[in-house]
Amino acid sequence: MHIPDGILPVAVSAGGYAIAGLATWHSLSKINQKDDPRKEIPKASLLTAAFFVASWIQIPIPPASVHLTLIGLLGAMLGFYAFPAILIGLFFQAVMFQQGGLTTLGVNATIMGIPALLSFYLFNLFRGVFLKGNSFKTGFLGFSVGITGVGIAVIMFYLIVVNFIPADINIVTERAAVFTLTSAHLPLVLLEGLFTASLLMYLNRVKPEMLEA
Amino acid sequence: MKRKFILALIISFLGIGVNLSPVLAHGANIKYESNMTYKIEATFEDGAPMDNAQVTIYAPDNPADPWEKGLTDENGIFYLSPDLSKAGLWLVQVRKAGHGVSVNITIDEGQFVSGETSLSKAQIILMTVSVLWGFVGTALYFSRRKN
Repeated sequence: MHIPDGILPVAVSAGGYAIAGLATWHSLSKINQKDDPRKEIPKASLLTAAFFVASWIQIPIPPASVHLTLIGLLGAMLGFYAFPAILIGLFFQAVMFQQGGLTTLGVNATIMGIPALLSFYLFNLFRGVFLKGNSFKTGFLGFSVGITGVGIAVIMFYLIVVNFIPADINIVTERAAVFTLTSAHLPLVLLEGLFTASLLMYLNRVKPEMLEA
Repeated sequence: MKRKFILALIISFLGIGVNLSPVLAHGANIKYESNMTYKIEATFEDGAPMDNAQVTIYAPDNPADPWEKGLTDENGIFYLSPDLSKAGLWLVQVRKAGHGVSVNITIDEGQFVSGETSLSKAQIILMTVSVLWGFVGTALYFSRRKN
């Protein structure tokens, strides 16, 4: 789901940087308002490492193969730290392994970071009801957060790639290929929902203070 | 207790880092190498093509065993794509019904050009572990006890 360099027009890359810049500024100002901004950094750092490594865990879904993104999980557990964490994770992925790109860093951060923040809002909205209840309620919240995160990211990826195909590429072929790849991500959305649900259920039982974002 | 938990988390992340799949997620790779095709056209003295003649190719590193064997087409043409990494004299022999001819084709040292964009597995592992340790070190630094 990372968009590499050279796929998008310059205007779109610039727009991506603008949106990512705004979102980063907003996240950092919210982080600054906390009593102790440094307290959450160890958690953010370790979850960034998890995000970085998650793309290595391949799940073959014919005809493509997909990987976990942990977007919903990062949003729920990190809150406003999620956007800078995802931005940093994407930067390292682009620089080290050419997953995504540097010109498209803003766009990729937007595609993955904004859904993380939306997952956080969703999590925050229902945490009072769902976290205190039984395991099933926590699991349901985790599942919703998981599918929201990846689902919105997949939709954004599809819309951006399909609408900005350069003129010298065969549009019909490329659209069909993107549609196939996006369809292969639908099972991933369910998988992430299940993964986020089980992890949140576990953490809520064993260490609930980790969910205080 | 909190330290032990963080330590357990760190060790599990390092474990994930080491269990790397060899395939990059949606990364793409290009491997390129130079390729040259020689058109071998064999004719009899009167100009008639040597159609369906036996072609035997010998590489410079093994003049005893044929590198490739084939037949010319109805126009006496055979296409040869030698392995450009084997520099030296390539022997091409064409024979039909007792008549034959051979030629030496020179492949120079510099003709073979190749490369690829991907990293070796060792490089990938080293880079991933370095980055992961950066994140883990950050977490450890910020979770140290304040004096």
